[in-house]
Amino acid sequence: MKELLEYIARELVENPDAVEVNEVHDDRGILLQLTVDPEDMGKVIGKGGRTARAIRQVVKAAAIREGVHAAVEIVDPG
Amino acid sequence: MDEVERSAPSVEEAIEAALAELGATEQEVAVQILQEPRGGFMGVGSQEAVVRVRLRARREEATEEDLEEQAEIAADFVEGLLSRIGLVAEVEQQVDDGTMYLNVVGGESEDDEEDMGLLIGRHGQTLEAVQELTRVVVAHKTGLRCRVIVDVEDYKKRQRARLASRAVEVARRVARTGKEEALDPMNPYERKVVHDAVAGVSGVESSSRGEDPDRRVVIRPRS
Repeated sequence: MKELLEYIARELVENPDAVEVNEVHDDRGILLQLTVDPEDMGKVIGKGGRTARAIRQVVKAAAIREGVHAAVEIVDPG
Repeated sequence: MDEVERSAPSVEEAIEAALAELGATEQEVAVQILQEPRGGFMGVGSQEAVVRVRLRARREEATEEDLEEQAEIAADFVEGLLSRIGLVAEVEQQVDDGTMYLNVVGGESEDDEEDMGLLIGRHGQTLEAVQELTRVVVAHKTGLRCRVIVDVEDYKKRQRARLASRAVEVARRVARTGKEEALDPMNPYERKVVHDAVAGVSGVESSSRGEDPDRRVVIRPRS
């Protein structure tokens, strides 16, 4: 899941080297915290949050396949 | 349909709705603001923004090479995505009417079929998400508007055909009975499929009515 999210994010941004995904396990499942270059926040969120929604949907589908629950958090650099 | 009028609480929202309806980007249209929104006092005297959005002549069609480059990038991205989800599938490329069509085809086993169902998602939601990401990636890497359609085992093609034949069925009934009929609410893409299908039936015409997400196509006898 982590690798999938890293892959998607790196394809979307100007600065792929700054992409980081931190995986946290809690009782609800897996939380994937995505950090990108502050300049690239718009790229992973998209107009009206469309890109972020699409990312979450794809990760969710991948998680279902693994039989786990996964949530994506885009970490605000501010 | 080259021109639409839409209203919304703000000018931006109205333009966005009109663009969705036209299937166009802001660069391809001329926008006329017919009415500025006004707040009013406690809801009294408030008015929505109304805009008229007209399609300008489409920019030159993407060249064959542009299309091939887009398809390469799109196919690479989708393949990368599939392998990281752990899906075994092939990505086939077809050019159809100036549109590049990527079809993901899975294996024959029951597990593979389940995987393709997962990739489509409920009501095609996951497939839409994959399409959206592919669009953004292609636009980002080429600087051109992406004209690649991503499909899974012809899901969209089949949906479109089903929708078009249902629309024709209703249109023929309207032509016979002379009574207008409204279809279920649909998104802009689905409405376009219906309008195109109805245009092929003589004696009827169609238009859209209502506001998203309840906007629907109405088919009526041609006056």
